[in-house]
Amino acid sequence: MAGVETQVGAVMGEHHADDGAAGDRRFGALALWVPTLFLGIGLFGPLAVAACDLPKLNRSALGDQAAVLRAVLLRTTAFAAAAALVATAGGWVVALALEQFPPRVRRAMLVLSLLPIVFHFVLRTFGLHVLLGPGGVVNSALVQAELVREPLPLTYSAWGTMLALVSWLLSVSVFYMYLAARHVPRDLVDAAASLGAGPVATLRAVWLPLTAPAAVMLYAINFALGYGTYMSPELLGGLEDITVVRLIAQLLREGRSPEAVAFATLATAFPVALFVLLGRIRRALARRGE
Amino acid sequence: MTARTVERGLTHFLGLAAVVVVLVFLLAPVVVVLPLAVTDQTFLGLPSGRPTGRWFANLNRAEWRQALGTSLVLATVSAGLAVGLAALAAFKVAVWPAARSSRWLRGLVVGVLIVPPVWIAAGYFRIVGEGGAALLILPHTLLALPTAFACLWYGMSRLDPALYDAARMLGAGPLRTLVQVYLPATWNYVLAAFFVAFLASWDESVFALLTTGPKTHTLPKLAFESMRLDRDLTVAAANVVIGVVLAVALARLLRHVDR
Repeated sequence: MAGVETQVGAVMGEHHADDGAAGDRRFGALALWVPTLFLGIGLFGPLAVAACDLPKLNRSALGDQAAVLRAVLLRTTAFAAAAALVATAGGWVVALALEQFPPRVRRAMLVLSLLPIVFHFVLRTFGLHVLLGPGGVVNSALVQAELVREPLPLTYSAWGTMLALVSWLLSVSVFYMYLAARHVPRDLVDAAASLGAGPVATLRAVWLPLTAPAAVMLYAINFALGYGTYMSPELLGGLEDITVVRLIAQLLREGRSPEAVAFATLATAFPVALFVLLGRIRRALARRGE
Repeated sequence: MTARTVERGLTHFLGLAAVVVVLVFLLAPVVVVLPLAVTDQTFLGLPSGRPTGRWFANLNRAEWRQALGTSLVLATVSAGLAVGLAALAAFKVAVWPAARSSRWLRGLVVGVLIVPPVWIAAGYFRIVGEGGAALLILPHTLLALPTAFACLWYGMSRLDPALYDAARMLGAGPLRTLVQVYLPATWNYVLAAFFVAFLASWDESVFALLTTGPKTHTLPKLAFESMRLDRDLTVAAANVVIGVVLAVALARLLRHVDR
């Protein structure tokens, strides 16, 4: 805080003529509108342009494909929901487990868990191929141990998509939950211990309730990311495991932009609704934690 | 041995086991693929070929040099812009957390994560067609913004709110308070935000694949094409070189953020 005081001291004496409340309002508006304007140009602009194709949509053609679209939506939701659950639970467990180690060990393990993100996702996915392919490490070990007769279809399958998604989401989940765990007041943990609570009771009474809101938010983020990702299902998914984004990309490649945009709009409503719902649950849990 | 000691030992063991399982799961794909950078095999499998430096030599080829340079410049510029925008948004949300506009802004920035990038890319394609690398700055900044914002918001919301009032009472305007008080006080989060924004752009491939022409390469795009079509493992060599630098930066950064 000494540095902060120096900074505050550095601006001492340089009084501005502007009246405080008006300055706050002006800057508040600037801080609101500059990012909003950027999002307007960078996000909503392209979405609106893409939506211009909607009037060209052949509704009967879309209606004919309703069963296919429903199946793709359900499959993608199942992939994203399951991968988000595994990644969030994994991140939560590891973050809480790290709390029992000394700071140096904890930091080293955190660096190791984040290490994969500095390497390209494409490269990591090909690493998963080496591990999980028909002649890969996992299948060779399973066949040699005579646990299975033939290699399991772990790549170009639903399993491949799931494993790639979890591998992609897990590193950042560990970090996010780690920050949430660091936020838990230490005096509450000490108080629980001094009142005779063991590790399990402290986990149940302090750690879980106070980190649950972050876990709920993380689940929503992981779901949205898993739902909208292109690379994991493209590189490790099977032909019959097509997801929403693969279908949109395929429709775009075939020049069927109106159908792609209509389907994308329909598909995005789902994670948006989940985000709003989980946001409410997170706030309710946070209020209860307070 | 008391029941409490057994409970403590058991939770310690289970915690350690969970951490080890997750670390093995996360690190195994990297550990098996990176050694391919120094073997002469041209197929994806456990490293078994003879040692060679050919993939590192390939980094000197024009397309790889261009891809590496483009990705580095793109990631640096996009991360800089994303951190600037994220700093403004995070300051607004941290200083006036109860304001309706702050909640709205927070939802809007985080909401970028919800929209599938391929849909946004379809819109960009309609606007610019197959463009050059410079046109990727806008979408890369957009994709990097939510993570940079989350870092800075986390850092700024941990500061004592009285700091803002103190700076204002001492005569600093809000912009000066942001630049001379809030950003220096959260410099480790600023670095973390730049780092995660850099990685978001560094690893982005959907926009590069869908909205750039065949002559424009970023590293992930070239990696995707070369490994998928040609079984060219130069990307493993590129990742060894850059990954080591980024890993050292990550370790140093976490030391500061963890304090």
